[in-house]
Amino acid sequence: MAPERRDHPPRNVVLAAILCLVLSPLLFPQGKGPEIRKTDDGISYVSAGVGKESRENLPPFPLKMVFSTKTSRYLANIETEIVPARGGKPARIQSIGPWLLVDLPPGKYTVKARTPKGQEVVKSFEIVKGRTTKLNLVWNLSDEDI
Amino acid sequence: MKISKSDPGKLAARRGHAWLVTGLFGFGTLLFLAGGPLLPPAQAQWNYDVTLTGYPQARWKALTNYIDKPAMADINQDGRPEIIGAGVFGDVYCLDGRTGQILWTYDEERSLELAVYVSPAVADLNCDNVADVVSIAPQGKVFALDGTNGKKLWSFQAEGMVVYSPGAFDIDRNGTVEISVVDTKGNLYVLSSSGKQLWKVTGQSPFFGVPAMGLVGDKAVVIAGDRSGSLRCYDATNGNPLWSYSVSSSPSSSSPISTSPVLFKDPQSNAMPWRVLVGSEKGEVHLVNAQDGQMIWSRAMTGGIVGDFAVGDLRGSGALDAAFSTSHSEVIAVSLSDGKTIWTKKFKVPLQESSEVKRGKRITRETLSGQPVLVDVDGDSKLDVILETRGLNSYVYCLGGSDGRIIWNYGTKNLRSNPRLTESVTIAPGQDELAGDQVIYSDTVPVYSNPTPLVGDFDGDGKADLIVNDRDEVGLINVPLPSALVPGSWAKFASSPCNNMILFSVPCVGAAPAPGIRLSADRNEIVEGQSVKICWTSTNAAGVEMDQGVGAVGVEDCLTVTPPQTTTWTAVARGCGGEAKDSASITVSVKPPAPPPIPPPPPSPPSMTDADREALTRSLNDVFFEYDYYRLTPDAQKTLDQNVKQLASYSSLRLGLEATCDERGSQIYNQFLAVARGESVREYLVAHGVDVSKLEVRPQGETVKWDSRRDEEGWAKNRRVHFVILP
Repeated sequence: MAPERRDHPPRNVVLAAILCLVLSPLLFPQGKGPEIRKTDDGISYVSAGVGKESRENLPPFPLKMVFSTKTSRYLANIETEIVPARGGKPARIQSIGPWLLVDLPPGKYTVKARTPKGQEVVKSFEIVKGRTTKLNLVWNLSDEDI
Repeated sequence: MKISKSDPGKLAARRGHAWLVTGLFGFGTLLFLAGGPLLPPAQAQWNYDVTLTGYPQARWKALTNYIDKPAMADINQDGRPEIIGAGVFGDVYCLDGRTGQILWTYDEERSLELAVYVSPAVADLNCDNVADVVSIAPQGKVFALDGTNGKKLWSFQAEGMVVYSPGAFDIDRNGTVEISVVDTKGNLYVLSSSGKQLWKVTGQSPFFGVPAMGLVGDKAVVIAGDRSGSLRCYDATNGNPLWSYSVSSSPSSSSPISTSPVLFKDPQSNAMPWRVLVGSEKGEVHLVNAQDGQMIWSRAMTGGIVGDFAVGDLRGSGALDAAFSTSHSEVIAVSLSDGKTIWTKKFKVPLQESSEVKRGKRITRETLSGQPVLVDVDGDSKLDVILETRGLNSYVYCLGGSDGRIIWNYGTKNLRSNPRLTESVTIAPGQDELAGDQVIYSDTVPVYSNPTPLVGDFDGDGKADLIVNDRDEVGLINVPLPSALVPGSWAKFASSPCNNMILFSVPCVGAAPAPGIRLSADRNEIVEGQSVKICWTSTNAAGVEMDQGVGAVGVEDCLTVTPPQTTTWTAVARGCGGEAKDSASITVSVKPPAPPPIPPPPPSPPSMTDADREALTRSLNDVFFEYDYYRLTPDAQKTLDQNVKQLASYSSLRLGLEATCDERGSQIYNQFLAVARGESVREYLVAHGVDVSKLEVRPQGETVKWDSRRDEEGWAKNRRVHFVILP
């Protein structure tokens, strides 16, 4: 059966997927949870959420971010910068998946999240010891615009 | 909006409590000059599809980066103030006050090293009778923007970080303002209107807040408090120390200053009427004589750290009072005559937010922050107190100035038809994943903010408008206040040294030295396609403009250009003393022709016939996946086992794994899920002896549809990896 072909995905989506292909053994390990990685400054994080299996066995990090469109569709390949409110170097993390879990110390932060097209969402939040902060970052855009 | 030279309102400085109460009498009149119908609500701004759905009382909503304390000035000279806000990363926004439309934005090199929460200072720096903007970027950069277009005029690099707002005041009374700023290394700088350092002093410990600048008698002074508890007064013309005052009761009992000092003139005192008001981290409020630094009174509050003051006539008595918040969730009003408390309003204390959210209840945590704004809301000729609280639900309260009663409050309940918690609920543990394709919202968290509301007549209807921050989505909302203001009350409102003040255009007056400019290029001849660096320096210039479509630039800067043809660049420096020009010509020669392209290598001959290829393709079965999974089901593994057998005789073949998804999920998500599915298949094949170098994953996301039905049967057909023989 010949498939029906729609328009190609945006160029940046394709480029991101090519990058993803290169990194895929790290990002989509078969049969085990996603790998815990570290930023240059030693902040641990897990980028997950592509495929249900990647949402299992996740570490209990204090920050969980979910990236989605206004129509509740998960996004991927989001560039994030987490800036401490009272100074310090920001954590820059490229999240391949729509879930990003970060092991941040307690404090107040601002996160700036950017799609491959540069569309940004900014939110401030607080990490409180012993609690998980769940942050939904919603781009008020349709799927086609991202 | 132009102000005559005799207008006493012309020299008012914004933020930093750095001006005299008597300096703004023109404000009320000007606000009521404007009129005109309201425009429709603002259309989409930024990257959002902004509508006012759910904000029944809001006039407009503008989405920007987080703006902590907006300022206002009549930038487009339509008689109504615009809103100028500094984002936390050195970005600046200018919004039309009437419509919320963003007139211009500026981004200081997208500095993201440190967020700073400041309010810009607005003042006419380049003598075009339009207010310009001075703001702060992370890493200690102070910069000025042309108010008409947001282009940079100049920048100044402090030695340390700058985390407080700049102040502005015309120290030498020559018609242009000077800028004050403090850094974390204990420096206090005073800059000229063109960004040059006039003087600097270094304190024993870092200064806190915005220094007060103003006149004490005929003498211009700068007063700043530091973290060792000292309030220091300097001669504003040269930085010479005049006096210092310690808020600590003894040398062993240090009490850091925790407010910006407020300089004002006591209307009820004839001799030595200039006063400085300052608060400390130990909860003390001190009133000091600004002429000699002697204490007039001090009072200890029970409420911990004292926040910034708003000063005005709260009781209609003709005497000045002050309103401020404390770290113990109190708002306190005191008489500045004797320091006695007029009233105290205690707000609710933090409760168990998390469990409240889960029970779907409104959050009761309300932490006071920011600086109160004084305005006569109910028209009784007494200034009332408006302040924002911080918590899961943000509220804006208006308290009666004379008694602290709640006149009204806005919160999520009133601002929005749907309270936030109806869209942010917590589902039982373990279920906060996907339900179908829907993201279930989990509980939001208290966000950090230090907001200060902004009040002004932005639409020119004679009624006060309130600008508040919206923490759900970053941005500002304009909400008309319920009560009309009586025109006479505006002068009093404007005389409050809080953040809601306007700085009108300041014309150039008096003799000023002529500006000069020198423009040079690193090369005067280039080949087409090459770049050249043009640099310029200027003297006595308030702004520089470049031709060839560049426009306003800094007074000293460089520009890299790639002119397609011979071009002459001319820069004009303008200042209060006139203008000067300089030019540089770049000769561009034609690029030599490119060498002929290398012919592509001939295609390699096919290793098998088309018929063989088709037969093998037909014999390889596609692999199917469960919804939103990339793991291989037992059926998929059986299919792959059969395919491995088929491939055994063709070890040299290259195989493409075309991975697709159903249409649920965003395009970009599906592209990545397709990668994961392709990788699952590749890993399995490699584990069963297929040469990894012969396999190529080709993610196609949802762009290829094997079945166009939009039901589970159709979607299941689209979740697959298809095998193709590659040439």
